[in-house]
Amino acid sequence: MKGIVFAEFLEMMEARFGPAATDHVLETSSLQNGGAYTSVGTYDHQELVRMVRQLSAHTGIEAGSLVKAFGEYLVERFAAIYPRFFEGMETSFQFLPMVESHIHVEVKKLYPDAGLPQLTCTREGADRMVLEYRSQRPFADLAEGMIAGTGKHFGERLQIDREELSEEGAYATRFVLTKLG
Amino acid sequence: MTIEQLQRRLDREKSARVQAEQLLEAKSTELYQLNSELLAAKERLEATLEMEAAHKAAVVSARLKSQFLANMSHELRTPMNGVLGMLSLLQDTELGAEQRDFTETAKRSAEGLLRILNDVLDFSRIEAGKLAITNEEFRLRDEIWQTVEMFAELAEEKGLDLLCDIDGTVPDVLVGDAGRLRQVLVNLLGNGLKFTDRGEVELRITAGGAGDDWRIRFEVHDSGIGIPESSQVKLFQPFVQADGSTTRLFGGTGLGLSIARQLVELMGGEMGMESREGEGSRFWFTLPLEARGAAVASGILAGKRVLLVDRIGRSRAIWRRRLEEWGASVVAATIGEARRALADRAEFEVAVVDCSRPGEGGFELASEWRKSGKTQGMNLVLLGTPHQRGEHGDSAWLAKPVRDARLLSALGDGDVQKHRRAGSVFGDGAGNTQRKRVLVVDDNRVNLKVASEMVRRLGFEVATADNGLEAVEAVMGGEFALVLMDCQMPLMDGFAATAAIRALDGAVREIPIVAVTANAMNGDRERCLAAGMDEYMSKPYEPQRMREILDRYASITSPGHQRP
Repeated sequence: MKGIVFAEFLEMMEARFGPAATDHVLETSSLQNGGAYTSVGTYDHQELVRMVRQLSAHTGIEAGSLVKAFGEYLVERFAAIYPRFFEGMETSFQFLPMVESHIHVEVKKLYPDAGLPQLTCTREGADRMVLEYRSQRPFADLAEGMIAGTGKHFGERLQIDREELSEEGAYATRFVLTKLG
Repeated sequence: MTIEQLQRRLDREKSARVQAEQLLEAKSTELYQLNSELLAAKERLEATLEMEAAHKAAVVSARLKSQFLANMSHELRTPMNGVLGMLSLLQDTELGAEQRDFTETAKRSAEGLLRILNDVLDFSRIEAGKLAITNEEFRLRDEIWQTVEMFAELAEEKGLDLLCDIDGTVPDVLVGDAGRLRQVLVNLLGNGLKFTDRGEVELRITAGGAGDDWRIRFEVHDSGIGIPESSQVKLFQPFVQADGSTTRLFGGTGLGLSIARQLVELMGGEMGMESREGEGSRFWFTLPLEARGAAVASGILAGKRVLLVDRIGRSRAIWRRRLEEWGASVVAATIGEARRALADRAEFEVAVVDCSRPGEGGFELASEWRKSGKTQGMNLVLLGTPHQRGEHGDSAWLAKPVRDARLLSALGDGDVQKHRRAGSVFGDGAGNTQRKRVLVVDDNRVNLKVASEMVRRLGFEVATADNGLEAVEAVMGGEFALVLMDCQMPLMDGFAATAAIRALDGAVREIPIVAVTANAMNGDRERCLAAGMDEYMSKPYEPQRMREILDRYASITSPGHQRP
């Protein structure tokens, strides 16, 4: 998993729960580099899973909620760091299909070895979109958070209904997005 | 935060920086390598571009050289034509034996040089893609025999038998490029005779097809030195001969076969060869040709009994088949067999006897028959070499190789004397009592002299003009039977002069005009005809061709010129 995700997770942890909590999580998650991440590096995604678990134990907040919150946070950070991906975009239904068709393509150019999830968007009417998420890693929560973050970014109220799909060899989740009001 | 926590945070930041630096270092190295590869690729690309430019320059240079070669050959041909024309005229004057020998040698050398020039010219035209093939009706047998007869003397000198077998099924009137066909055959027959020291060289022509579309196959067999297998593959490449030493021994440019093959391919055919060292070679080519009309008439000799005496087995076989195609019943025999056959009883209307090898008994047999009266009432036809002219009593005499039409005619009416080869193409012109005037137009003084002299010797009066303007004036002022018109001239060229003459008032505008050009370029003929000329003759002036032209357009016996 790309280092930027780890670096941003540490930033969020420090901002929301303070430097002491962050230090605790890093010290107790048995991380290979002792919790030193650079955004241009690549790290084992299990380290993120372990940090979330430790943070959850430390704060008493359920891990899924933490990951979703991180997803929302990540969208805002991406919008700040990579504004060109958001240029000319006005709605999340416009933006979400672009993640697969444009952003992931660009990421692959820079990091040919990046293991990216696969996102398939199907528009089902003006206010409804089905997004299927497939990945080698169990980060459907992160995806849900990012979908919610996207809605917030565009100032929309999005209802996200989620259904786990059982598929061989991959984590797969179907998100049904409905625009409200 | 405690000091320890801050310390750990600092350590983590340091560690992250080190990681980032290492990554940066690795990425930099990778970038450096990629950049080096890009630079190398760029240099290769530039080298390729340079090579491409060099290649283009080389192609242009090669084309210019071809062009230069073509121009050179053309320029060289004009004086060569003068030399050849003058030598032809010289040969027809009173000459001592030594002088005759010298002029003969000079003429052969000049002809050899002209052949080389023509080869080079053709080759450069083919290279430049400027050689086009014409499509005109021609009589195959006439073309073939004319070509084969060209080699009769050479074959005789070398003691070789020159045979020609045109299958009866081969259509006679075909549409194609007769000139180029002849050129290919001349090359193959010339090679065959050149590389054969004993035995025979045979041209075999067969046909496959039906209706209008025929594929005619030409094969030249020889019993010569053959070609080693290792040399066969490169035989058709330009400038290559089977063996480097061949050039010294046999001469030649090494262009002939390459040109021949390219010509055949341009005509839509194929060419190939088989050969075994020491046993001889077989060169063949096929041409797709359109036929006009059926094959030669058959059954013309129906009921005639013919005794065919020839010492060469192959020759007997060929003539037997031909005679049988014409409906005759044939007994083919060696000289010994013939003596016995005729001793029994004379049951033949015709006997054809090969006398071409003195001392082999043919001539003796014929004399014997004549003396003993065995040939009384029998039509006796003797076959000899071009040099065995002379008296043969009441027998008809034909020079080998014998055109089938000539033999047919000899067998049919027994009067072959008229088919004899004339001693001189020119004759003395005395028979032409009502002398006609021919206007010869050429800006080159040597050419003018050659042509005028040839025409004069054929019994015509000659007037000359050295440009188109003078030609038109002369035609307006005098009565001419024919104009021989050069094409490229100053002041007014031959095309413009012809147009001017055709635009005149009265009968004078109907005068036959024959174009004469050294260019021999394809399309020239069409251009000449389009300009209103009646016929086309290429330089160098060939006495035979000149005679044909004058016979057709200006002789007192010709029916007179009729324009369509």
